[in-house]
Amino acid sequence: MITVEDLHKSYGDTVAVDGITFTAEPGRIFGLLGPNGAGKTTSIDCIAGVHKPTSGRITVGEFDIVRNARQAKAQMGVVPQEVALYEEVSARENLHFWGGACGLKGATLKERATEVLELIGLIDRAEEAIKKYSGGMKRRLNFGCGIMHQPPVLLLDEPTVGIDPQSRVRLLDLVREQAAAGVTVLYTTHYMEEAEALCDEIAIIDHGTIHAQGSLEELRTLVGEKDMVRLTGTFDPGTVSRALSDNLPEVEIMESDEEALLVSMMDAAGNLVALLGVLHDTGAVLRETSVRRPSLETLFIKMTGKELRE
Amino acid sequence: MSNLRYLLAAIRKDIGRILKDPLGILLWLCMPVMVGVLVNLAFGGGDGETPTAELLIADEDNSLLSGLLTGGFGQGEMAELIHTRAVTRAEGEREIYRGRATALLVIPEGFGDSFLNGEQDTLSLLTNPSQTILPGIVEEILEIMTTGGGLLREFLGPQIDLIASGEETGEDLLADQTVAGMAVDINNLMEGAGTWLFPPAIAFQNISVDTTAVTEAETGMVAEEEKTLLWYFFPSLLTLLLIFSGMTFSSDIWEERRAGTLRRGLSVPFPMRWMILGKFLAASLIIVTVILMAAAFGRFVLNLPHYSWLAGALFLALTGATLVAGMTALQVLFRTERGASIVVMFFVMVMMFGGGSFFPLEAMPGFLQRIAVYLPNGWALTHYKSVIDGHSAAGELLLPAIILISVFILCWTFCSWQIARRWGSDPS
Ligand SMILES: Nc1ncnc2c1ncn2[C@@H]1O[C@H](COP(=O)(O)OP(=O)(O)OP(=O)(O)O)[C@@H](O)[C@H]1O
Ligand SMILES: [Mg+2]
Repeated sequence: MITVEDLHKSYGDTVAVDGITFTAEPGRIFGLLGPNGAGKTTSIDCIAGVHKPTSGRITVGEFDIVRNARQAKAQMGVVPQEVALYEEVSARENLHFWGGACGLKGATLKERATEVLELIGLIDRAEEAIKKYSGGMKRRLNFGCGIMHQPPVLLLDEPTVGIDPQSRVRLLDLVREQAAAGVTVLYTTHYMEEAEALCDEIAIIDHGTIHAQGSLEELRTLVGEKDMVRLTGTFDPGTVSRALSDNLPEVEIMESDEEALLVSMMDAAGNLVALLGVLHDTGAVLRETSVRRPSLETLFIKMTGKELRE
Repeated sequence: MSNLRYLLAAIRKDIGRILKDPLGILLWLCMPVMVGVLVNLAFGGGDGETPTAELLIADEDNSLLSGLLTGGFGQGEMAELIHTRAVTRAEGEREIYRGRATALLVIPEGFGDSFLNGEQDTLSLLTNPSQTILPGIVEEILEIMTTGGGLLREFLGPQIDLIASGEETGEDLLADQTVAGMAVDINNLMEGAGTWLFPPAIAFQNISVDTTAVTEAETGMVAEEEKTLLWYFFPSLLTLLLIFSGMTFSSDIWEERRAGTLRRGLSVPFPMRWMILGKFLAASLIIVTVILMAAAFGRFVLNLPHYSWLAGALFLALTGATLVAGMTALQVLFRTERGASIVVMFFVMVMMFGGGSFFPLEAMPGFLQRIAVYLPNGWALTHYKSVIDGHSAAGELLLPAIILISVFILCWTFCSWQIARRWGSDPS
């Protein structure tokens, strides 16, 4: 279990995390979903004890990460965003070192290393210096080093970036297995589909704050049944706003400027003709129209006012 | 107990990494060994009577630098080996052809200027074909230093490239301009080919004998006549090894930061200091091994008359360990590797040329000798020499050793603190 209360972290003048609060439960996968620079890694670093929080409280299990760093860290397995391994030595030696660093020793350490090598599918190349590995293989080993000591809490910082589709499926399965075994998993990602497919609970983070939080279902109801319609072309925002509130009051404007318009409305497919008609009457010139069904992405756009791109 | 196990794992890990990539070690081993081999070839064994060479110098440059070069030749012990005489080029050539002198060194016009501008210029050496050994010696002296300089360039190449590479800013300890200034200085120093030729030429003539030692020559001390040039050179070569190993091993901290392993090390239950100590001890083990082998080689293969060679070698190894810790402390003061390289390189240069590691202390002008003992290598070299020379008992290394250990602990503590504070997890 991880509890984070009102966590703040600044680097000099940069506020990276600006008051986030959440609880990740055992046996569940908690997702932190946010774009580049949202503060995901900074949050993970604070929880992992790599950085000291500027303020706020973090407990892992029953231990405070600042006051009982050693016990708290012993509970955690960390898989950093950047591959953090020793390139000159073999996969097995890396597992031995990081497993040992998490308290494993002797025969247990050796057996567990073999087990993990099998789990991540690298047993055949276990004795090779990992500088000869592909990027995806290094990522799998990066993950392996984090689960060596079978920690009750697992922090994963975008572990699937740069991995091929098969390895990715395999890795996600491994993460699910960890959760099924009762591990508390904190998973950061900027892939919408990954969060939807994997996480039991999701927090949408941007600019260091959490904009929405809940299970996938709860978040879906937050968006409501409404669809999102994005139009590009030439608009006069003032006229558009007036025309829409006069003629189609149920349409909600999310974003509006001279070149783009983003609205949310019920049954967009059925009401699109009416919408286009009203816009046409304002003198708008349309270039492109796209309709999106409610999803995490629409919620994300609604919460942060921007799209989540890779 | 578990801390100790982690420490051992960290040592094993780093030794494994070093041995998997032995090129780094070979590189820093190569340079002093080559210089040593050349010195030995030139002054092989040192037995037999030392003949006197007649060196003619034609100074066509008449600059301050050429003056230093010619003026210095006639001093100290070197004066007994090489007699110098100022001549014009024409006179000198005549003398050589008549077989009346060993060699003619011509310092061409503009040499001093080229040197200061970092341009290449050639000193020409005309040797007497009828003499066999002496011209060789004169030639070798110049040769060693140019070759040594060339090797040094090879070794320092990547560092120079790094220093010469583009702008990189960061809130480093030193202001950007200062660092940039140092970079320019170092570049000039490295680029002037004359640099490598010149200082040794100046330094060499100054080899002087510690006269108090001669007059009190008693039993239990190395007699002056046993002190061959190699005897003077060998300890310097050992400290040269230490400086290079310190530079190589301390820069590995950047490797670990780039790889993200320091950051990962901050998330494990053991404090960062054990990981850092592991690094230092792994480097130290390699240094002890190399220094012991080198010292044993000097004592038993080259037959250098050394007292307490083992205690001396261990003391030097401890100095090496402290240099690794100290230079790492210097590295982690900087945000960028470039900034750190420039300053570390600067210290390496200062120690090398100022602390008696490239030219033996005895071959340096007196005022420099007095400064040298305040540099880590010069300080260690002085203590080491006084022991192998029989001047002091091995026990007298105890206090210096305690000082070294204290400095080591201080640097270790600082590095661990600085790395845990932020340095280790900053993006590089
Ligand atoms: N060591 C540091 N020093 C200064 N600023 C930092 C540091 N680390 C992160 N930041 C800043 O903090 C903010 C959050 O960065 P963070 O790495 O936590 O984002 P992220 O959500 O992990 O992004 P990404 O998806 O790109 O990994 C960014 O504005 C970043 O520039
Ligand atoms: Mg990140």
